Amino acid sequence: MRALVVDDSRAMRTILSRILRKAGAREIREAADGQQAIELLAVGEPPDVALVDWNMPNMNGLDLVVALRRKAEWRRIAIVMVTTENEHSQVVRALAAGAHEYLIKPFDESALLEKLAILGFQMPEEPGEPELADNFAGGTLS
Amino acid sequence: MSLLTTETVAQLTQEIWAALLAAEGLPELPPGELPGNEVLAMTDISGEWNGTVCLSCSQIAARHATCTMFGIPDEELTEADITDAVGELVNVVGGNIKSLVPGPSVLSLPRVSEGDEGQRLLLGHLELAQEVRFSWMAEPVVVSVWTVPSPD
Repeated sequence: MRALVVDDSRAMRTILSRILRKAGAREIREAADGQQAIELLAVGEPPDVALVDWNMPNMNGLDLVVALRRKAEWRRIAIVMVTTENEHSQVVRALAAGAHEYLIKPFDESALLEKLAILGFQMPEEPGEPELADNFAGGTLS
Repeated sequence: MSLLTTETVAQLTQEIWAALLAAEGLPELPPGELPGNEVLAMTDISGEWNGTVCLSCSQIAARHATCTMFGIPDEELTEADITDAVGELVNVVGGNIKSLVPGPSVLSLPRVSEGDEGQRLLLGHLELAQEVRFSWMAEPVVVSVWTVPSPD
């Protein structure tokens, strides 16, 4: 699994990356805002999954989701919003824009692992490559 | 009835400390002065409800939190790490408090200062709405919610 973590807090990026490694991610890139994420995505293979905060400087997470869905080569990236925005209307906006899953901060490790599993990224029982679904189903509002 | 009560603020603070810092069952502290050399982090809620959420703690508590979140030993910490970690803590606290007050509203990016009375003066025109004090790793931590006073 290749992953992209987008959050303006380096501490939060560290926590999320730690959990992604447990889930078997073999390549994790980090960006501090949506703009930086777009710049990162312009080079190299697109990630399988992106964890995206909402409130960030320069380009927020919702705008990033919209940008990811506009470009054909980024449409297969599974997107999990990881944010403190917990109003129902915001959840609906994010899912309508193209996010697959929504995780509200604070969260525990198992909650993120569960979201990744829903998207087809299973935690490996032994060190090595995780199972990756060819196609993940549409998102759930949870 | 307002959802912003001492109980709800205390509960969400406990949940945040448990999720981000693996700290369960924090004992509450009685009102009183915090020791000096504290770290103060703030975030503003603007919209239907306007106010500021503050997290203040000792320098030692701030360092503990930063070590836990980054997973690094104290001797490797930088001031930027502490600002980032404490800023994220108040961001999560503020985001959850935003859900307790009338909306819609937006949350500002966090700001963090150390031993800076100037920041505290910014709260001078606000009213204290709720405050919880608790002990974490034998260090005091205070979460307070300040609101713009009504004109009448």
